[in-house]
Amino acid sequence: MEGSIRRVKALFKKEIKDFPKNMNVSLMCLLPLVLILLFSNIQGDSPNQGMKGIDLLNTGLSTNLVVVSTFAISMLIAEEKEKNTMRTLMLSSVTPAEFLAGKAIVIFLFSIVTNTIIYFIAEIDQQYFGHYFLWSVIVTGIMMQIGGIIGLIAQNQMSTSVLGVPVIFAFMIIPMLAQANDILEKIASILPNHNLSILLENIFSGKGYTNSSYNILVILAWLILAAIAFIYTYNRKSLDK
Amino acid sequence: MLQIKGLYKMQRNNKINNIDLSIHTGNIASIECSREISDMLINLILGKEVPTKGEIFIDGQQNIEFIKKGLKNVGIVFAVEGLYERITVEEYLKFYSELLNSSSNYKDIMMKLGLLDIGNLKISSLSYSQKRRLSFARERLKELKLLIFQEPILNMDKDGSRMILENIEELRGKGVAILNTSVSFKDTILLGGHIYTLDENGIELYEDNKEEFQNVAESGIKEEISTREIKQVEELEAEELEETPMYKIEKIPAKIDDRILLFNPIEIDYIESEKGTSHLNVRGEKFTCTLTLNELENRLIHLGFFRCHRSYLVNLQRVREMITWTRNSYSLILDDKNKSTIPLSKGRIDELRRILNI
Repeated sequence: MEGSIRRVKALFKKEIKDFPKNMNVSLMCLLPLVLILLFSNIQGDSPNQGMKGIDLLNTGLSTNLVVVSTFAISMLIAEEKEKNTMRTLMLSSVTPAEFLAGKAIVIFLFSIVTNTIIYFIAEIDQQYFGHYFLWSVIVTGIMMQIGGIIGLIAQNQMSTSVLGVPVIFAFMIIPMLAQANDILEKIASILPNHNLSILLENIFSGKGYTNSSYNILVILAWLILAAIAFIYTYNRKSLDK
Repeated sequence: MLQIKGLYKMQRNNKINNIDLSIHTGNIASIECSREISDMLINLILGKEVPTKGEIFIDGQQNIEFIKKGLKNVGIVFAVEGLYERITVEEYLKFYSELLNSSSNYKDIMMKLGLLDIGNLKISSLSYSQKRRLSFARERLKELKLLIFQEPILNMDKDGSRMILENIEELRGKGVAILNTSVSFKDTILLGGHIYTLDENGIELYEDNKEEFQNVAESGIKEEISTREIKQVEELEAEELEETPMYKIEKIPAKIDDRILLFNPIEIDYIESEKGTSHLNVRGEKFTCTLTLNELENRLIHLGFFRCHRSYLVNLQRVREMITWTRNSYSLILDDKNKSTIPLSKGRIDELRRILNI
């Protein structure tokens, strides 16, 4: 156990050092921030008003959840497979779980920090921050497990895009178009990030959790399902072979 | 340390056929084999593939049991490796040093492998030789008992090769069992230890170095006798020449399919014998010769050819350089088309010096 913590720490330190130099991933991780800074400053028809409040938060959050939490982690895992660096790690007593933990911690921290920054740029009442933090962390966890599954399946960075783009579509575009189409609305109603935004809307409007039991249920169901799917894939696609 | 018993495995076109091999602590085994077979052998040793037949023991334990406890004592350098290209040499070694909780100081190891001055360079900007040394340095951070090294010196520059050979020798001295594999027969000779050839027919011990050193003394005497004989023959021939003019032509035959090529001895850079067959190296190309190396030696010795190793006969006119890698390994570098490096036995150095008057 002690050795395990030491190895995860070493892996984490390496990831942090490597992160700014890894342009593919670091630029991708900055995308949500760039996006909301852009949106919040766009001059609409009414003067001096950019996007604000819940709309801005939702845009930023869903981009962050899909692009950073899901996509970035799958790229980090696939890169090590593609460049054959993982093999050397596995031959240095690193277990697959430690390997994944080192990457997950970096992405997790980055996601949470971005989520928090988005909250403050969106200028939402600070009294709701605790609720926001809790639920955004849970959904980040769900999305990271999905990203992890993609990373485990993909053999190289190229194939993470092939596998990842449908996921982006499903999680980002469908909730956006939910109002336009009944079928899309039905699909959106079972997606965790869409339920998160409804939940947050309810919280921010002061209703608390009274109307949100369905949303909470969906999110928790995703948390369990994603964990099962991740463990299943992890056992099937053993990294150290 | 490493013991392989009756190992058999067939995979696609590759076959490991009933091999037995054991490497004790402080010993080196250098195996000539194809890359595929080498990969397969390493996977079998690491327990990533299950043998059809046979057993592998590391440190007296079944390999799978040993590997379960972690690979702290086993170093593996593959011929093709991925390194973290974006971080620097020093960051890389520091990372592995922390990962392995290494007791050795990574700076010392950097010094031993000539990496100290390039510590701040990004790995992506390193040369091939530097990258290979970095891979080796990483494995040296482990408390090694067994080192498996794929292609230690293939295509390496001269200084890089020397550093790798020195480090291998140092590890051997510390009691590490070392398994080298290479596609180049010459490299395996240079790497030293017990030399094997591994192919689909099984594994074959090429020669024991110790035996060779003993034989050298004897062969030295024999050669003296033979040179004396040759002198006598030449004297006789000289006498004959006075009587009847005679052309003395020495051509070396090589066979390609059903044709026979005849080479002038001066054209030949060196001759290599592998598994009993001689190969003439002419302008960078190899030709099979039907004569044995001993027969060729007898024919060519008076034309300036020298038996620099049990398996090599070199045209001394082509020798450009004599290199001492470590106390036990030497090479000759030729100025032929490929700038070939060929092994030179320790026991034959004195004779070479005498011939060349150096």
